Amino acid sequence: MEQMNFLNNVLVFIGFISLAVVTINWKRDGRILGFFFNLVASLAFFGMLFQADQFQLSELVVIEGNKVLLLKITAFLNILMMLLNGHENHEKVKSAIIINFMFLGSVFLLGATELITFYVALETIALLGYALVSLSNLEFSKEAAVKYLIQGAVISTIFLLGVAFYLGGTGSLDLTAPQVINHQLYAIAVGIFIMVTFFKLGAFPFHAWMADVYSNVTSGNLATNFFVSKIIVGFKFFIILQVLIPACEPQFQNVLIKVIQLVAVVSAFYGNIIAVVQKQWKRIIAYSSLAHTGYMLMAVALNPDEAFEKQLISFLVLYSLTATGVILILNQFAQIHKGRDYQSILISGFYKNKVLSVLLIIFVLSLAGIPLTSGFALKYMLFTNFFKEGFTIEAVAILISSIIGLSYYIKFVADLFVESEEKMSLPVIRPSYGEQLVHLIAVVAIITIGIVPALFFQVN
Amino acid sequence: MDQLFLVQFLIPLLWAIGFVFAPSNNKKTVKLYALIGSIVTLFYTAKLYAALPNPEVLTELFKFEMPLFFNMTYTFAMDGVSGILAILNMFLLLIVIIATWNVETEKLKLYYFLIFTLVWAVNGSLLATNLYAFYIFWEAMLIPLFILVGVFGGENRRMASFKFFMMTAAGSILMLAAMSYMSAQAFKLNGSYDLTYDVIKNLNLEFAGVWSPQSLIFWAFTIAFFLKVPVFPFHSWLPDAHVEAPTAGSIFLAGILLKLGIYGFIRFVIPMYPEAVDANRELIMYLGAIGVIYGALTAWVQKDIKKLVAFSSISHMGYIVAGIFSNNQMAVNGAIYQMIAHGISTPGLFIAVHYLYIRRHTKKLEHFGGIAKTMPVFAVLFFLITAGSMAVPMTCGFVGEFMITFGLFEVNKVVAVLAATGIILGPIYLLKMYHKTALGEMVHEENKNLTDLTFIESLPLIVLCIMTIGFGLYPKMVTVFFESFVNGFLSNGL
Repeated sequence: MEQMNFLNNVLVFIGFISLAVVTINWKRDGRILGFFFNLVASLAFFGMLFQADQFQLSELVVIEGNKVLLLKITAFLNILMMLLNGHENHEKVKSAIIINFMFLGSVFLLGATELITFYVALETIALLGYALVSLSNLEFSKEAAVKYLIQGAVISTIFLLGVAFYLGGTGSLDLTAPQVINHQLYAIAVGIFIMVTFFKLGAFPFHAWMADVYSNVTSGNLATNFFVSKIIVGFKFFIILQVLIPACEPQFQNVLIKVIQLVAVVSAFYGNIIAVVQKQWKRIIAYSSLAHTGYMLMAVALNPDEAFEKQLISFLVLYSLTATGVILILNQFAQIHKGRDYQSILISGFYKNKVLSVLLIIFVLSLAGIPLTSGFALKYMLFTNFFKEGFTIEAVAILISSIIGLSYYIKFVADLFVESEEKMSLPVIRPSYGEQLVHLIAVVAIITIGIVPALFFQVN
Repeated sequence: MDQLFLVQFLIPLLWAIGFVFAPSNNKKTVKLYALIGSIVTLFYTAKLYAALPNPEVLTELFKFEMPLFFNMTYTFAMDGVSGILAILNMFLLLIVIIATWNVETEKLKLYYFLIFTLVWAVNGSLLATNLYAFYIFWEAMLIPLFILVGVFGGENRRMASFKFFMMTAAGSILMLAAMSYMSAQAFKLNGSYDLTYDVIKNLNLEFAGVWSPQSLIFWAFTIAFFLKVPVFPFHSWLPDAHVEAPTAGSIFLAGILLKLGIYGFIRFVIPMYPEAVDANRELIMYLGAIGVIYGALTAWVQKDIKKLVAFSSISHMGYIVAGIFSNNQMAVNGAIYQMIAHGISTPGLFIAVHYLYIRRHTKKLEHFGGIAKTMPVFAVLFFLITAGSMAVPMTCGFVGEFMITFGLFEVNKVVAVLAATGIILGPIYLLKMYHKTALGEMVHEENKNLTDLTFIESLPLIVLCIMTIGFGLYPKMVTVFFESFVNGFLSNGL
């Protein structure tokens, strides 16, 4: 395995972003230069990832195996986010710079082998995330950011408490192979980490921030939140909990697994039920995301192999890409309705914006898990694994909850075909090149994986 | 065989995609393109069937392996039963296109796109023998039909399409749960998640009462298929869907989609879960018989012709369910025969209702009466189709119902008597329908100016009438497709 000390590359990455920060404030063309340097930073980092199979920064950050695969995917998505934000105005370029810093935080988070690095990386991502929400400049963006910040700060404090318990329970901050010396303290620490996972993924009952954030953030910023919080943070917590939970005493282990399963099932039901009564499309997607978090959490309770990790990465990436696609299109429809996310914005959409409507249908059907989309292949893969591990009741419960989910997903499709003369007079939506690129990549991935999942999965 | 299958399988899909690029302003070209597509698909389906070496056994047509995804495969095969249903599917496509030739809509391309996609999905699920592939096509049917009903349907189309989608999708989720469970079991047994026909057969799921794995899996599939057929008391979506659906939707629903539920029983449930089937056989036969009576009685009191035909479908499908689960050669043969007979007569009735509707813009029975005087050709063809549906001797409906009833008598006399009630009730509500539309006094002025069928309009009804009588006079034309299959089915599956 080829190993690389990638400190130099990280420094180059930071150097280009710093250049972007400096140049963005120049009066003439600063915005364009800022965008350019920021993009170069992302491209350079992405290119560097193909030079080795393992990346290391002393012993504190080690990225190997499936984490490298995930890093490559997210680095690519990061470039997409740059293009999606574009260089239309200063706010968008500023957001793109923050996104790049967030990405850097997520690189450290992914490779963190002990709790201090983990905590610092997690907080870096969180703080930049609050800033990103606030920078969105929609009607209630600031309010959403403050709510998110306050709840995040509380969780951050609780996480620190968990770190203290962990230190007491193991005598070290090492995350790779915990040597437990006090089982009670250790179990409390793991319990706290699980709680933090629930918050970061937006699982019940720590989901309160999600709906506000989803409905008050611009597409690019929300997409980034998706990629970082769902994919990288979710996967990292999945990895460390796979190490930490088995080190607990059996009775604690059982309780913790049961709690995860319970929260998974409740999240799936709660998310799907609450989504049905929402009046705004983006809030529907927010609550459907809560339901999907339930599916993901079940994966934490599994006893996975390397192949399953790849499947989970596929699930996280595809889910985020699909949800981003939906939010992007919803924002585009909202734009021709004075920026408001009314329930009626999709009416007659098909007759006026055929391509966008077909894309929205494909994305939504994928979220609903309808065959011939990646959503189905991924759900099938997850549920088969649940049954294989003997989680029959939990799997059936979550599947039943998804029946409720179908009722609101199909509303998207139905509204697009409703005819309304008033709506026909609205302007045609013209997505930006960045948006078109995201749509194209998302739809190709969804359909290809939906029809021939073998191209992407590695099992056995 | 591989190449022939691929052509047969891909043509409807490619043809559907073709509509996206067809010129919007030339409707005649679009219609002609659709007509040619339907003829080509029917031709290749018949050719594929003709190429089968032995219709008695499943002949593998195509296999696509996906070693990186659970070792899953897409496996397609054909035998007599799937063959005749595939032909029926393509035949109905042709009939729909001719019957709705004069339909005026601005969304003609979307209309044909949805129809061809629907036909493609139905064809896929008929020929798929791997459960994964079957499920994919089974679900793929939902969306085009949902949009077809939702966009081209009647006044309450939104409610009807939601109800149809939610109920059938709920059943599908149960099937998905069962399938995931079986996949996990297959992995433990064979080290592979694949769910081919042979793998499922050899799973040998334990049966020890209601809560045992085989019983639960059986019910998951059975409820999914009950919802599709639909069997009483899972039928409530059907009348709404039929009433609100455009004619094409009604024809496909009655003609082939309902049969897919029965096909699911034949292909996957009855051979795969023998103990669970044995334990629940009587219950299901009774449900079928109750459906016969319930459907017939409810049809009797309907005032809307389309709703009447919809409830008659529930009654007829009840027969088929009772027959399929009877474990009797005559009844099983009759049930499969009745699937074809119903696939001819009920679409015929819906076409007739369509012709009445485009002339009078109403489907209420009370708005008609005496139209045989102004539409004699229609009246004759309508009568023949109605006769086929009410199982008059020498029509195809009679053969199926007689065989089922005869077979049921050997198995369970109570079920047979209950089911036979449908033979009496059938003529009552269908003759009432015919009488109130075609016969009697012409009390409404609007009916005096009705024009009779044009040649193109009468063409699909003529073809269906010929088939109704032809299959009634010489049932062997149909039974030859599946007779030998039933022998094997009874000895291996039941």
